[in-house]
Amino acid sequence: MQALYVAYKDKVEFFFVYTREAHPVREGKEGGPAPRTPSEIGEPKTIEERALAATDCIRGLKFDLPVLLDTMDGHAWGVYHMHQAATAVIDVDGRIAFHSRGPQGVQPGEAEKALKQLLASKGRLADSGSSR
Amino acid sequence: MRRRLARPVLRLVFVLLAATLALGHLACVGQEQRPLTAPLQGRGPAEPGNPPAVARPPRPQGRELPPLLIIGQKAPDLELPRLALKAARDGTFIGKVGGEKVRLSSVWARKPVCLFLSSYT
Repeated sequence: MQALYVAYKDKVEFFFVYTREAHPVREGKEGGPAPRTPSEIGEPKTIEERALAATDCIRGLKFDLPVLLDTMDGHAWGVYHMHQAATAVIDVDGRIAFHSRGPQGVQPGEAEKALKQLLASKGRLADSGSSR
Repeated sequence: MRRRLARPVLRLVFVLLAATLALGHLACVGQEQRPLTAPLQGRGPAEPGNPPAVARPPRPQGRELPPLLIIGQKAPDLELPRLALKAARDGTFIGKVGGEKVRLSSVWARKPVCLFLSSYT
């Protein structure tokens, strides 16, 4: 994910949308300067708590993609048909060029293929595409 | 007196028993014949005179995934706050909810967009 971002960030806008926790612990440790591990993160109850969990995530996974925070009612989770994780590539007309979801939903390799196809056709979706 | 009464009752019981057995047998025969007269759904082409086979939906295997978004369909728009990072005293940074919101439709009008949606856990 980070490698894809570094390679294409001048031509593509990347966002990591931090959604609700897929496997929260029942009583999560409070967020703060000391980074938490995934096994210490509970389900955030406020958007500020979600911001702290997202901070732990980008520190733990060491990436610097721009991060957006999903709403507490899970709007992004719902409209992108998420199941634990998802990847979506969107062309300049706002059409889906690639979508994956599920436990293996983060698929930078497949996203790169879709991005290459888009960039070869001026950011617009050709007729053919693929999704997982 | 008792024998006179018992005979018709016994006859009635016998007739009812026989009728029940006959109906049960007919029902079994009907079920056995059904596959011979109608094709199995979703298996092979229909014989002339038989109703066409209908493809069965795949049997659900465990927990179903939500449907994929279709390639070429309009992407759902989002307007979400950014994570703003502020430096902490110990040199690390703390994430806060940024004041600025990002609307995807205004972004994809300029460049293709790649979204990764997930959490840490």
